[in-house]
Amino acid sequence: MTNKKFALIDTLNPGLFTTIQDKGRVGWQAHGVSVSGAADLNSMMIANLLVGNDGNAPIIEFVMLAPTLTFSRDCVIATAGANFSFTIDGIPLPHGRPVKIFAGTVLKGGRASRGAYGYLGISGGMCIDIVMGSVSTDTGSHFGGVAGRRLKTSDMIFFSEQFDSLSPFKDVKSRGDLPFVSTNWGVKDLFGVKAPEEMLLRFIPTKRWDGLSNKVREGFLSNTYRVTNESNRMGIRLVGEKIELEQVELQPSEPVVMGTIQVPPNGQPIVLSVDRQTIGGYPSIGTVISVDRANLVQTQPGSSIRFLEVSLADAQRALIQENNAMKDLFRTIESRVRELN
Amino acid sequence: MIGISCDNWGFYSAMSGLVADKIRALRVKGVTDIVPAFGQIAIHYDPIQWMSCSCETPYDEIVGYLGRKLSGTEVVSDATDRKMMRIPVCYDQKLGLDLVELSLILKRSVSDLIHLHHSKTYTVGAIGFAPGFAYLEGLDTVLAVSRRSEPRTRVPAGSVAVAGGYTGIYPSILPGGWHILGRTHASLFQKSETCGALLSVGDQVQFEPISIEEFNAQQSLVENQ
Repeated sequence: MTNKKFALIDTLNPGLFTTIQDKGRVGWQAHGVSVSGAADLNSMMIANLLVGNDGNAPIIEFVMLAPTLTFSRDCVIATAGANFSFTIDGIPLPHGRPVKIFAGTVLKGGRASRGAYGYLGISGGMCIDIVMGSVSTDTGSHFGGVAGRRLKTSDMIFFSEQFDSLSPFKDVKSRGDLPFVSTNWGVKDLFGVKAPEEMLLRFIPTKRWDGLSNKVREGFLSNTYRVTNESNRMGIRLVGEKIELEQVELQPSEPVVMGTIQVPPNGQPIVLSVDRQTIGGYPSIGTVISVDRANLVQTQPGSSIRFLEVSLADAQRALIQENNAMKDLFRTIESRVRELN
Repeated sequence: MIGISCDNWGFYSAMSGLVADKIRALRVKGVTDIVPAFGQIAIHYDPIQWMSCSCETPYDEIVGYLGRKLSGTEVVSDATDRKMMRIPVCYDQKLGLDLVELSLILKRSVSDLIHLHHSKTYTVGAIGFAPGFAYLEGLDTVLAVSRRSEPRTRVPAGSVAVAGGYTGIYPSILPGGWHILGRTHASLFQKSETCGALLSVGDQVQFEPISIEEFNAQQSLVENQ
């Protein structure tokens, strides 16, 4: 048994916005509590499964600039989502693969050339307090994760007590020529594979959309929108063709979801993301479909987005298809990871 | 998400809380959140759990199921259904940071404003903006002012404030643009599995004015716990 006092991950550099996440704080929206959770859920699940964890184990999420961490003991890690070009002793860490690292390893994070959100899974998970059913960091309300905020230098995270129970590469004791041991197989990035230059986001229209003039709807559909630097876990802020809504009286707030497309008075749309509030006051013209969630959040500031209107039925068919494909992928990862022991 | 508009059913805003409770009691599979707000109810659900062999979408399946379960359900609101919360508020000018300014804007005396605020019974229309923040309906029209032109970056926790035709209480230190009339020690939100928000949509709220001495005495009680 490793001494718990030394069984930790130390933050040498926190990166830009690094937080602990899981699937999110589900079931508390009627109390005004945001759902939060990993922005790109599929990538989070993959990073966890690659290290032999439950898909919903606590995970480290980073945005645009990854952290540099040091590990006080041997463990298995895996990155998924955007590739942040991690290195160990200057040698690139394979992305999307289980990697055994050794006590004293310094894992140095970089920037993502494509995508915005990356995930680091750690075998056995981390010891993070559960707040209302989730470890997710809600930086707006200051709870979950490490002290309810993003990581800062010298933050220490303890490994979970369950360490080693399911860890792949259990019997690998030496590092060979490289500072780590990895598999010769891995998982590719799943987001934005088809349209890296201009992301196509499908949305289900709201009643308000149906009431807009053809000209306004055409304007929204035929123009591209650019993702601005003000985008964050609350929402993806876009600039482009102004959406002219008729003057409406101030309306009471209504419930919102991940993907709600809001139009504030300046006519520049905001697509709500994981740290959205539970209700919102701006009028909504549509909802980006769940299947396009990863494409939405993984679009870097400066890149372009185009919208495509689909029906609810099409959206749900796509979701069922994606769910089947993901289940297959998850099963494959689980069986390959089991073979490592 | 399924949206239900209670307006179409002839309900008024506060009833959405009771309807939400009825739906919650059904413990419908795949439903994660039921969020009432100003007469609307959002039902957040996982469509994967409502896949079926028929051609219908998960949405059609769950809406059909809810329709069958709720048909014939009567939602009647009388005083006994609705929780009445009495919240002590100190309207001292040291805590009611905007009382004087608001009295100049509205050309009413400070004591008039205080009286107008605590003499009403309010109904929780929605919880949102922050955990435990309740939008209370029923504000006297005199107090229906727009937000401050310069929002504060840190509104003290417990501040009781008005804006946009609502009154509300800041559950924690938050940025905010509402006009602050007073402060309470009531704990509006606790981040625990059993508590959450003190108020629910549909609850009724009355403010009971207390003196600064009583307020300070309560403060020391809170600190001693």
